[in-house]
Amino acid sequence: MSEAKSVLRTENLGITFGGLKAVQNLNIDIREGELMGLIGPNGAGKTTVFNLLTGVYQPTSGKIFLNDKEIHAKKPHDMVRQGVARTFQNIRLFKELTVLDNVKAAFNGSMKYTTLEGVLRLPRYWKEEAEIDRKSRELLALFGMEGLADNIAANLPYGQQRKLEIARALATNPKILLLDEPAAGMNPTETAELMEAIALIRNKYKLSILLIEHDMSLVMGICERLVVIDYGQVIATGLPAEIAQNKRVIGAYLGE
Amino acid sequence: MTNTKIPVKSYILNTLCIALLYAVMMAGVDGKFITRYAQGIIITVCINIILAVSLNIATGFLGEIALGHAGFMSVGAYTAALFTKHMEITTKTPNAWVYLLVALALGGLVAAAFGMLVGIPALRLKGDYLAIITLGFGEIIRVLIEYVPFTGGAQGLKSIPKIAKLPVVFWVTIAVVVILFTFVRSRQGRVITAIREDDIASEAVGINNTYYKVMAFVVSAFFAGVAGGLYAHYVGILGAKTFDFNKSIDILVIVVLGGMGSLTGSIIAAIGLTVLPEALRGFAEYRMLIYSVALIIVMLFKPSGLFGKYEFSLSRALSNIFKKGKAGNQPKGTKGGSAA
Amino acid sequence: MDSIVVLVKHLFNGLQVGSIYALVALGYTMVYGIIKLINFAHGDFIMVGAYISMMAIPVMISAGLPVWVCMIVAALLCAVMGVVTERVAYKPLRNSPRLTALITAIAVSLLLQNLFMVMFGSASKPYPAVFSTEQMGGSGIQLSMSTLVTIVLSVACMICLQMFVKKTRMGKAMRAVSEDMAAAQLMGINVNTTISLTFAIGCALAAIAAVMYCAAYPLVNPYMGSLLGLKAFVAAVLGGIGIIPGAMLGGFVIGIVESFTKAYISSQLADAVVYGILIVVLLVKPTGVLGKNVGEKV
Repeated sequence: MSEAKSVLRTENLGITFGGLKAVQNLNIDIREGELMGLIGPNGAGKTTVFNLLTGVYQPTSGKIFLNDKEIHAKKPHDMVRQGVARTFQNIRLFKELTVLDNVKAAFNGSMKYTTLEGVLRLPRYWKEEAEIDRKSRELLALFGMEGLADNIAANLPYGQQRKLEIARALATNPKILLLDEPAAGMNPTETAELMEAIALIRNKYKLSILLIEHDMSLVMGICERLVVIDYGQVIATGLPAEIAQNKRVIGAYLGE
Repeated sequence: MTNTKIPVKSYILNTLCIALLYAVMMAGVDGKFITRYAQGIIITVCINIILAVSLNIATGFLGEIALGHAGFMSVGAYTAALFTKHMEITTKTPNAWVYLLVALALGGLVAAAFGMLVGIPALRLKGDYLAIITLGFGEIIRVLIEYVPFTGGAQGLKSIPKIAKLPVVFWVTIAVVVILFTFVRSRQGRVITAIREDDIASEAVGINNTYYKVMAFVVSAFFAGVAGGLYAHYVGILGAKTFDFNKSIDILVIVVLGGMGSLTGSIIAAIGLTVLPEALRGFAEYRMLIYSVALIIVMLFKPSGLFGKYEFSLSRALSNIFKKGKAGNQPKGTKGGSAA
Repeated sequence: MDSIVVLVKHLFNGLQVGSIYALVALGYTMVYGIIKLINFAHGDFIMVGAYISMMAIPVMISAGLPVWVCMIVAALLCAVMGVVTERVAYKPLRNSPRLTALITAIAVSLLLQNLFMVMFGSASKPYPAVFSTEQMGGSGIQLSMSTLVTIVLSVACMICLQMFVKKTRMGKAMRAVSEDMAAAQLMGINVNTTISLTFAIGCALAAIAAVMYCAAYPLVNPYMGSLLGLKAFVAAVLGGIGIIPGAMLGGFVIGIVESFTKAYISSQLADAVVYGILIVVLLVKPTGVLGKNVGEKV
């Protein structure tokens, strides 16, 4: 395990909002194919970490390495092109587009035809559109949603919307996928289904996954390693079993 | 629903239909059923269609209210007019329509350049602020046109050759509508609507928002310029006052009434809002009054406009009529809530 | 020496127009602050106020009242119209997308203009003198009564408004609603009344501005409000929309810049310069000179 290459690594990463140190001295290292959990109590700064890793916020200190190469002040869309994809805590779909178009929009980066080719419908338009159509439907099928392709995204039930968001993130062909509370608001059956789907895509695409969750019992089952943060700082890293015994973690959760 | 195979049948169908429309129209002109006055109305309808569908790209598909469309129209109008005047084209010039097309392309390009100039800074803002800044740019363009010497200033630009005749106007309009239909159905159009739906999510799936927003804006401005060029060569005289804030609002009203995000709606609304006032000439002074009340009522009771995001498809309509309902042959596939 | 006299004269012209812009800008800014709507129709309330006061003047004279009372009549009637407009056109859209409300506001603006066009015709009508036209001051600098009254009265209005918003119960309610409408409602504030009051005050100020504007430029037509409104709106954005002192600052700046541009550069370009300032402000600091930057939560 420890031999595996690093995919996403941070060095003393931090961000300050007008004097408030939202995240500081964050050192995490996600390896190839690893499923890591990022946990912590409400308001610990988990989503801020995601926003730093995806270029939504620019860090005020520290460095981010992708495949051991340092990356500088990238915009969110650049980060996606580098292989970092994400979902959002409060689902952000293209609500009025169809399920299929949600996924197709995310495939935009892998399509090459120019505006002129598209407007004149030259051969490359047909070739690429057909290919993207097929790939998008395959992705949807992976989540058992192929039958919903022509539905408007906003009309899907909650659980399906979460899955669609993950399918859409996968369409960007990521090396690492950041999932922000993917099971939030789901019932136990939906959660179990989702976790199965996550395990499946991870094996199929050889993905690394960083998963935010504040329900500890949930991540214990599926994560290989956990990082616990509180007040913007890492308070523990390790195997789930170790974390469960860690005094500081228990303290943070019980509000000691 | 998706267009992954070349829908030859519906291409032929649509082409035939447009050709038929043209033939009927020209027969009407030859047979004097369509008077010069009626021809003028058709030309005005066409120009308004181009203005509305082009504004719909920025306002309906990208979802940003732009209040300076008349500014881009005026840039295209003056550019095209100055070109044909410089080339000393007259209505007697053989094949004047070729020069007109060149003039339109030039007008479009200069308008597009202005669109980029305005768009790059302006599109950093969103919503209300974007609306205001486009308004500001539109007004500045108008003031500058009156100020610089070569546009005829406040007196206006006179004796522009009136070479925008019905056939060329008709075909230019068809071309613009077809181009924009295919544009919104290309990957670029899909991305632009995705940005409208959620600009944070679009960035998060690797879409360069700024690039595509500026693209939408530039496309919108280009065709506004084309419409301006047609207008200039139809009326023969230009004054900067024509292209003020109220003109931008007129176009916006068409787009909103027709439905933001529906090119079909823009076309129908452009026809309706051009023909109706002509039909109700006796009530000319009530025209804007009725417009404004209609607009308020639409906003209160059907804010998505008359057509919402619905697009008409001839082949789909026919297949519905003949109950052959087969997917795959629909170039203008459904969008929005019209799937049923 | 002469050039200084001229400069001071232009400065006062600027202050006069600027204080009118500021009064109108207050209406924009208060409405935006409370319901986040750019009330495009606000400028047209200047026009409405102008017509109402113009019709009120003969009534005042025949009733033996001072002419300036027409201002109060116009302010009251405009306030009522403002509240009615809000109730009919804007209130149902309070939870709609901002775009819908914005377009409705544009439509209300068109409605008012065309309604008055149908009622009074599109030709400009002369406006009777409200203030004495006599010039005051010595040593070269001559100021008209209307200039002084305009500046003094506007500043007084703004101070009163600021006091009202800061000190009174209703003023506090207004600030609470603009901070968070839902929370204010839960605290027992009557949101509808507060919003109505905001429109009433804004429209009354527009009517006062109208009388003062007409005292300086005595012509009334149905479209007079749109350009005036646009510039006042620029003033509101410049100062920071939603912020009351910002509207005053913006109004004076726009008025003075416009006056100086007309005097020293080109009267044709004055509008372009005003819009140019707007664009620069929006690009550099979209929330205006006195505004706070607010980021979007991801």
